[in-house]
Amino acid sequence: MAKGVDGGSSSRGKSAKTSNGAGKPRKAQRAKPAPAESPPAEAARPSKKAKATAAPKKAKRARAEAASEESLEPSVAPAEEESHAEASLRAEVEAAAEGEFPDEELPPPPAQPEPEEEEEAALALGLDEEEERIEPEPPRDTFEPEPAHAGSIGSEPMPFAAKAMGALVLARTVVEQGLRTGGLGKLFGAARGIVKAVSSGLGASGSREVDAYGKDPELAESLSPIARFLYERYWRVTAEGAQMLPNGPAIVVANHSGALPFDGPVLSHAISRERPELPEARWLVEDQIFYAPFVGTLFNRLGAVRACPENLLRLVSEHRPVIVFPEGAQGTGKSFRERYQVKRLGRGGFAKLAVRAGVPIVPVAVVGAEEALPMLGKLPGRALGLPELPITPGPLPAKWSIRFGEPIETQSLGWAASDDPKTIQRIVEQTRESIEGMLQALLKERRSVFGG
Amino acid sequence: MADAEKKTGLRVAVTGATGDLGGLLMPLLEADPGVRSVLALDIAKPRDHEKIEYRRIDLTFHDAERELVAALTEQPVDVLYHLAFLFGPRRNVAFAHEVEVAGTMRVLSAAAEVKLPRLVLPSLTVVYGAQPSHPALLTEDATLRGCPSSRFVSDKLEVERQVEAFRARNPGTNVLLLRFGPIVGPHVDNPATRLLQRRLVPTVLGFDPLWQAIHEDDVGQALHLALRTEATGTFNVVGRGAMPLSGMIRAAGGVPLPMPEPMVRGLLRGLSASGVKIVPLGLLDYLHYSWVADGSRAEKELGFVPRFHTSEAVAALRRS
Repeated sequence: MAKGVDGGSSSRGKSAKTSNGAGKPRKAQRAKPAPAESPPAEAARPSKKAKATAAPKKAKRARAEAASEESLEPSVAPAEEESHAEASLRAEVEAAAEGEFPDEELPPPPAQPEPEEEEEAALALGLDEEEERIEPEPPRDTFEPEPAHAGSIGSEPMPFAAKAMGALVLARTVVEQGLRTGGLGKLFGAARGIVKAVSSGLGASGSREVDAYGKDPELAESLSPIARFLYERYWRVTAEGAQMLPNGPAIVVANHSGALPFDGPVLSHAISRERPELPEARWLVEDQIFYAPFVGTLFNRLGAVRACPENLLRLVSEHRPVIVFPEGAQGTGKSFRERYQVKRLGRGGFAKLAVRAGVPIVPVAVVGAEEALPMLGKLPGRALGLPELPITPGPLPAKWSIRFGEPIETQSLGWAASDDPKTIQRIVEQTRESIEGMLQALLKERRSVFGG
Repeated sequence: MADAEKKTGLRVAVTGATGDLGGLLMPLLEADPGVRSVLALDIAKPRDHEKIEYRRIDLTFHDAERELVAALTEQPVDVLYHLAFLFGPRRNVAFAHEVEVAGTMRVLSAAAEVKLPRLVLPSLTVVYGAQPSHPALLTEDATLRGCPSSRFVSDKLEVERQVEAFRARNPGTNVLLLRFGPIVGPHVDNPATRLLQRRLVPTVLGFDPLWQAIHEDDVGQALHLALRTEATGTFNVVGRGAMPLSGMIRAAGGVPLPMPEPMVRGLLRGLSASGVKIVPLGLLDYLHYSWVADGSRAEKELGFVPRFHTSEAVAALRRS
């Protein structure tokens, strides 16, 4: 037995390799194929070769003489295996059902279907009908090996096309298996997402479904592996205090930073994770990004909305948390030296709209965006009419920390207060202090930029 | 209005009865049992029907106003549809201006003189202009920016201003102005359909503006609804949903070709000059920036619910 195993391992390997493509579905049915493969395989090859060269009649005689399935392996063996397996199954069923259903028609004996299957199989090989009438072999324990070559029976020049097909099928199966599981699959998914993102940015996405604001759900889905990786592993985002977000609409005010405004999508993702019951949070981007070719279109497809009062009010009326960055381009445009300095919160437009709509303001501090996409400089393109491109060494693996602050209620103030500059100023100051306080606290707690 | 209908049926007059919009409305009026008669005012004779009476009136003719007043006094109507508009930009800009702006002026003066009860006019959402500073959905009260580089759009803006002035001076007339989104369908011909019916469509690299489209059947339905509605004012009449331009091109069976802007300009100029059917250079902004109008007011007040989504409307182009 051991000898057989040793001696046969090489041939088993060979036959396994070449027959894998067709063999896989059969694996379930093979009970003990491995050890017995080798001797029949060795014996089969010479006989196959003999068959190929012999004339049909001679071949028939040779087959009759051999009186073994080996010469018909390629097509018959699978059929035989099936019928053998079916036969054993039927036998079991019969044994189990004996006496319970005496009237049940007994299944036909295993021998009968075999000639038909053999006929079909042999017809496929182009043999005459008479020559295929092979006496059915008694079922054996040993299973014949899978055909080493698809066209090795009878049909003349071993067609290269068939060999190539077999190899292609094998390759495809291997690739499919690889793609379905493991790192290769994820890599392909990520690459596909990036390709879709690039095509969206160029303006050739061809996506047929976007929402009213321009967000493409298919793009978001195809980028979700990358998004998850960035959120969980690369940037290791942690968010605290998300319970402070009210259940209805809210205006979430955060500090703005980073050469590219990724703090918007990260914050939106954080809110979806921490408070999944809330409707999806949308974020507003400043015109400098929104108007830019490629980047503007891409961010719009990712879900960014242009920062203007109409859009803010419409989003708020949909009962969403709306993330705004009142610093605007001043936040993203400031150099790395000025990081974490909160610039002027715009003209207070967010406060005015919050009071008008009676919606609470939730201050949020975001730490990590400055270092993840540090703004080292800008390409001076304005003279040429090009938008100013930021110089940044790509997304770095800084650790992000997000802290939500106490909401600032505006409902009690009443609609008329939105026209009172003092009230608005007070609210803006309150928001700014809250954000700055949380930023200082987070920066103090942070031990290292990349480690957290 | 309801009384008039109950007694004998509505009497309707339609200018531009053989035009694009007229062609969508006339069959519905013919089939409507509540419509007693249709007075078709156009330079070409429409299809024969027992309800239709034809009067030849050329709105570019300087005396057209007098003829209109005569026609409307002879047979007073309950509703006048002024649909004598061009489907798209014309090379002969003087003629286009004459038809749209001067023609409308004459119609409005005639309407004022006969004290018309109701007036329905079409406009297009192109009057909002295509700007990067637009909100995501344009409502009817948004500022009309238009497109300074396109005479076609400027003419439409002029028409809208005339209508506003008319409303102010004639409060007794119920004026309904319907701003249609890009109309697509197998029987209409305008810059939008010409663009989308191409196999290779040039677009601006790096930009993918949001567009919308309304199916021609929905346009007919909206015009028909305008017959009996009590609502007055300006309404956006658009299909459901919005799509990026590249998506629309694909839905119509074409392939978007993003190119840098200077190249697109050159290509459009060259193609228009050589007579190929494509969107004229002046309307390039609409390939650049989004211009999606909000149709919810029409739904609420006019009761107009589009049957076709933008993608379905554009797909109808593909089959044609």
